[in-house]
Amino acid sequence: MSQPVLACPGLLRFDEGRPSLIGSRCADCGEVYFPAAASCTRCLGSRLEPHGLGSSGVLWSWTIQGFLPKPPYDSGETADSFRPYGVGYVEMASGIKVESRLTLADPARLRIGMPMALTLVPYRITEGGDRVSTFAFEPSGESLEGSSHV
Amino acid sequence: MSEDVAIIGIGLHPFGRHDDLSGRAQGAQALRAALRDAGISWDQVDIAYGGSHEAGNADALCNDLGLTGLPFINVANGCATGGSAISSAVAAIRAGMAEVAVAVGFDKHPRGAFNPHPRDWGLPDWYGETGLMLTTQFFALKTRRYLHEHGIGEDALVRVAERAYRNGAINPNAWRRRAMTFEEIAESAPVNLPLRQYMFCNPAEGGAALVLCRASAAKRWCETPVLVKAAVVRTRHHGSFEVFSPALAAEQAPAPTVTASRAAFEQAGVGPRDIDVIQVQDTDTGSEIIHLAENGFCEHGEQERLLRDGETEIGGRLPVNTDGGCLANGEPIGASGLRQVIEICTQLRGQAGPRQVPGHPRLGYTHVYGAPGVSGVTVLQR
Repeated sequence: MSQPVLACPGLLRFDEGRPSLIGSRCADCGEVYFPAAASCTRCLGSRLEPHGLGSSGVLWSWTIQGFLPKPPYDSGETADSFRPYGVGYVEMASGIKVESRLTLADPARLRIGMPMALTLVPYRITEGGDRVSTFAFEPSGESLEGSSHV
Repeated sequence: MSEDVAIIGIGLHPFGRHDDLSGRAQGAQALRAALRDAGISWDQVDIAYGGSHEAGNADALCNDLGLTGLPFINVANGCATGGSAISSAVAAIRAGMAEVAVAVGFDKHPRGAFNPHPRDWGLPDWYGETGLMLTTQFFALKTRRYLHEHGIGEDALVRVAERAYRNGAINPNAWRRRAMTFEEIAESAPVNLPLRQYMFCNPAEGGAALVLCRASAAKRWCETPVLVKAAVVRTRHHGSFEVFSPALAAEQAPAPTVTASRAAFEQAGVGPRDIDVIQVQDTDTGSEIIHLAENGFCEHGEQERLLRDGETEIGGRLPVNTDGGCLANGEPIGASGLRQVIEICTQLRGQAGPRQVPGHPRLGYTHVYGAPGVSGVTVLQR
């Protein structure tokens, strides 16, 4: 599979094709940021270093986007072709909660605390026919249930 | 503490849709009504603070009211614009800059506003382009987490809306004047679950204005002045759960509402239990539930019972949003916070008619919250 076209290229790292999120970490107080920040709003420092956030977490809150967002949303859908999508905050190992699209939009299958894994979703097709992807989280099944966060 | 400040005039251009009137015209009507209520002419006003989000410079009101040369400060603090205007007017009088001040706001939003642009908020383009930058999403995500953490059922979200439309139905100035059944609200279209169509307020139009002066001079103008015991604005701290946040900190911090509320009660020398009539920001029913506790009116998790037992009704122990709030009045951003203050003044003056809180309320409270994490609170006294 060729490298996908990304709406947000600076946010992701690929190891053997598997994406993970990149943020930053304050060298003074250790606070973690996503996306990467230039200054620390916690300790007021300005020494920030790149920091990998990993690719898994647990669902901290969620909703279903039930209507077509206005611009700058650029999926290219119309009110008729729009399909609702899930949105959530996913708590990563460091404790930071990352806002993200979810691959599921079914309220019956989403619950706070479920394990989630990072993936990509094509959310837009350009006029030239290219699929543009963004990061998203999908349920990662029972195998990760109980995996501890340190 | 320096001398108290009093509200001596209130004026409202009813919120709703007014196709034939500009936002500014609605602001001018509200301002003229407030001046008339105070018995003051525009050239007696020493300073004005005004805001409009989408209907032009508030200062343009001078072209309607008269070019008197007064300092007119435009205020832009999102949904907290009105709260910021009144706190600035109070500070100017306390500081001796002015004897008489005006706080005014108006707006005119197109249907289905708002569509914020990431760069205006210091955020990257992808945040908006990929569909994450919506206020309704934020309200839903914060509400979902709050209900989960505090064991509150989704029925509570319906009951807030039921009460808002019930109060709107008996408020001649309200936009939404039809009471709705529990089922109508609970089965309305999903917007951002757990929040549905009738659990959100709509962008609207309207104007609101206040005339204020030193409390010691108030009786010259007005038989029923309302004292501003506190008017406080606070912004967010690191770690609070705010709108337009691509991520939330590992350790959560209290919302700016909590810090604004505590500071206001301290300044006023009273506590939440002393308050007789309450306005809290209800852009959506989840926000009202959260704000009731953040402002100190109940414990986190207690709201479900308060709503079920009718304690937030006009005749209850904690009358909330007696004019129908944002839900029944809609939200013209620049005017919304001042509409709250006007309703509390109306209640404290005993002029609220069929929606009057019984027992001659003496102390009232208002609270607005706006993007990207600003809260404005007042404590008002008859």
